[in-house]
Amino acid sequence: MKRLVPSLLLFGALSCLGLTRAAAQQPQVRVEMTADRTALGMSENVAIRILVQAQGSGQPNIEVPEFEGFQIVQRAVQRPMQFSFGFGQAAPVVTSTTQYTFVLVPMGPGTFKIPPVKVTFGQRVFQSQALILKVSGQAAAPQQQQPQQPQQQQQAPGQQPAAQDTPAPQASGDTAVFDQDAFLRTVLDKTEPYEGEQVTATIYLYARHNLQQVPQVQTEASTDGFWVQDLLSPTRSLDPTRQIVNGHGFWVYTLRRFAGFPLRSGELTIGSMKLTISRESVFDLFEPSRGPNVLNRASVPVQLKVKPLPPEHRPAGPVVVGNFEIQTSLDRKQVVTGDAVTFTATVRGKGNLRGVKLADPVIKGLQVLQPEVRDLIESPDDRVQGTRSYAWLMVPEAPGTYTLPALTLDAFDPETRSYKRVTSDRLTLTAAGAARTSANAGPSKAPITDEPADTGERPETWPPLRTHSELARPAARLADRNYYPVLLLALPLLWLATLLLPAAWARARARGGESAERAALRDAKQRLRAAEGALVARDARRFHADVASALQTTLEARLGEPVSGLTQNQLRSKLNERGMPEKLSSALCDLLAQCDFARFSSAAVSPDDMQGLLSRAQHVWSDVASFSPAAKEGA
Amino acid sequence: MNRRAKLCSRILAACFCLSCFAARPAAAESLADIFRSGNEAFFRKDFKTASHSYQRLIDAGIRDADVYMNLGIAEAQAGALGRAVLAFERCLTLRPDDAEAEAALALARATLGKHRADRQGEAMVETKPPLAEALVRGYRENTLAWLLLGFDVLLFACIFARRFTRSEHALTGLAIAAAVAGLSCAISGAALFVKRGGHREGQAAIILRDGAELHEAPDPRASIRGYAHEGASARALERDSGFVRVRTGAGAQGWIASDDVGTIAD
Repeated sequence: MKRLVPSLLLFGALSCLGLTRAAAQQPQVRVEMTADRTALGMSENVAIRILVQAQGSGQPNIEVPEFEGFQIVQRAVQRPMQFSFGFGQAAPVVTSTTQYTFVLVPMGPGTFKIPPVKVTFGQRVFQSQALILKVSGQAAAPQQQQPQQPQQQQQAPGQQPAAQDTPAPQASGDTAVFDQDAFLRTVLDKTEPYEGEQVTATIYLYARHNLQQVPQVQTEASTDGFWVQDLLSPTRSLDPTRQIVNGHGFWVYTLRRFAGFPLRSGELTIGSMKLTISRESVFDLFEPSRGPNVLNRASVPVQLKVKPLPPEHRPAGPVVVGNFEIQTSLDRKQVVTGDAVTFTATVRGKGNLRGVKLADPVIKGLQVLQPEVRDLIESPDDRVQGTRSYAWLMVPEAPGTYTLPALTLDAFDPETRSYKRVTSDRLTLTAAGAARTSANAGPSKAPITDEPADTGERPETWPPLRTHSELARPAARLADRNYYPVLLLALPLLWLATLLLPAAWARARARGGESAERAALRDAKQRLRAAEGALVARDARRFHADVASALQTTLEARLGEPVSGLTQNQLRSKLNERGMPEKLSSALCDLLAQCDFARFSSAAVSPDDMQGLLSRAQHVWSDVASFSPAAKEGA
Repeated sequence: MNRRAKLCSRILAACFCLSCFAARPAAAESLADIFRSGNEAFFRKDFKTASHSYQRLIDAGIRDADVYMNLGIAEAQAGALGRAVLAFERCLTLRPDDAEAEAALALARATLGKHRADRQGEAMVETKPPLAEALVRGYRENTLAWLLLGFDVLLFACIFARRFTRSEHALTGLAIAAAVAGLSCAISGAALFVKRGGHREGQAAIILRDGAELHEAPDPRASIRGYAHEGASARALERDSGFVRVRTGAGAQGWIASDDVGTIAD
């Protein structure tokens, strides 16, 4: 039993392998075509899914049916491929799947039969079942020579458009030559405008298929005799709208839209626009019979009959066409004479603003420069309008009050078919200050002085050349002259001198008294030395006289007053008054008395006594010389 | 014979030279003639010749504001805006209240800035001097010197007068007058100091050539530190062998060829 089970398993596996190989050799194809709905309205779309699954080597040939009565708006294809390998197989088994998805838009009501999909694989042909789709809704108008007036509905390209019925064109300025694949259509909002009145022209491209590339313009529509203002942004995206023309669905692209202002009356023509449309795409593989890939198309020229402005009540002079108003302003009402002021006039309204021309105001005493003109053009609702500003620089050449006259503009309003005179307000300008000299005259010079740092677009105007010169030679500057610092410092120095001299004088005087005292002390010292000499010479009289003189001189120098006529008692009391210590005063008085006695005594004095006296005298002298007496009473 | 021939030839040569020198004064131009010829050249739009004529006057020692003004205009018309700036600055030094020269200087600087902005995309334009210099720019140096001297005398006259005055009212009045005179003296002294450039190093100068090289050393082979703009203000700090050490308004310092810079104090 244990041996039987593996044998059975092996037999089964071999049997399966053999069946598989037999199946692989036989091509197998599965073809399906399905729709997400079979009944739909005109404004709906339907998705058709085609699935082809083939097993075996080789590539199946798939024939996609024509979708009569429908427009393909989207298609996609997927080709996943699968390889299978098995044990013992000579070649791999390939399973390929191709899936198409078409999104269709009905081009008209009715019941449409979608033929089956045919797939040829090897020698065999396979096919799917057919589909029947019912489209309900109103049919489009029968084919006409001119296309229907479009009623545009803006849609993104990826979205499904809605087919619409449109009324027949009424305006004679709507021209086109119908073509099943593509055609150009030119539409004018009016064909008999007045001279200078806005005519809005639009050029559309109608294409059966969604454009894969931007069409290449070979020739632009000529606009001779018009002043043209583009109304579409040059950077816009080419977004189509969907439209039904003669039962065919078209993608409509707005190629050009511009406002044309006829510059003269008579017959004018907006010429033909020629372009090339390329239809090449990656899906050409699935539509080999679609026709040529490049289409050349041209629009039909449109003729206009431009009427002259009505002569009734027409004012003399230039007339602009449109509805305008004028506003004027001054940046300053009062200026310095010679200074520039800006006078601005703004024309605002609808119409050809570039045709508006204001005459330069002429005011005596005011120099008016060429104006700076700025335009701000807008086109809301495809009507050209905006502002044109004139800015005049005015320079009053003399002081006074200037009245700026009202600016006028004659305009013809095509809506009311009447003429109108537009007038601005009067303004007053006051100039003050001295009049400009002729040397400084000129509009570009005054601002130079006022605004030297301005680096704007100002012309390089240099001052006038000087025709007279004193041809002066350099004179020495006052501050460089030698006498200038002397002059400058003389009085301060004199003042300092008056401050300092008295003090210096007093100090000098003080310094003089001090030197007399020093001289007296020096003299006293010399006398003591002389006394030493007298001692050696044993001249007692001279010795005592010198010692007494030295002591007395020193004492007088220190006290600052004479003491020669005083008695012993008077001297003692004076010394006490001046604060001399008692011991020193006693020693001094004793020495002086001893010297006096010895000078006039007949008794001889021994040298030893003289030596002792000299020693004591030197000691006392040094004490007296260093003595600082107190101030005298009453000093 | 040879000696005689040589002597004769020398005498003849000397006579010829003397005749030349004698004829020269008859052909000499007066300063007024040079000025007039410069103006005539200017009106013929021969700006280079006009500049040359005005420069001859300056070389002859003329220091006149009108001559500098005309030189500046001629240089500006000839396209040498840096030299024009220098001439206008010199004119303003001599005549600070010359509004036309002030306007011409501003225009020259603005034009230089515009030209530089056209080339480089942006440019800084020097419009006003530093505050201290701007305050004294409108006064002549001699005016400030006289003011200083006058206030100096007034101040010390008041101080001396106080010594001989006994009246209290007179003393108070003299004290106030002395204070005012002292303040005015200090202000005019400071103004004179600034006017003479005592507060800054070196001499005021103008760069005459756009892209003038600032060298590391006074040598054309020395490495280049940077470049100076034409018409820019600078301070001339030092001179050495054909070069001037300058400090530009932007703070850069270097040696610049003396032909590329001119001092305002001529």
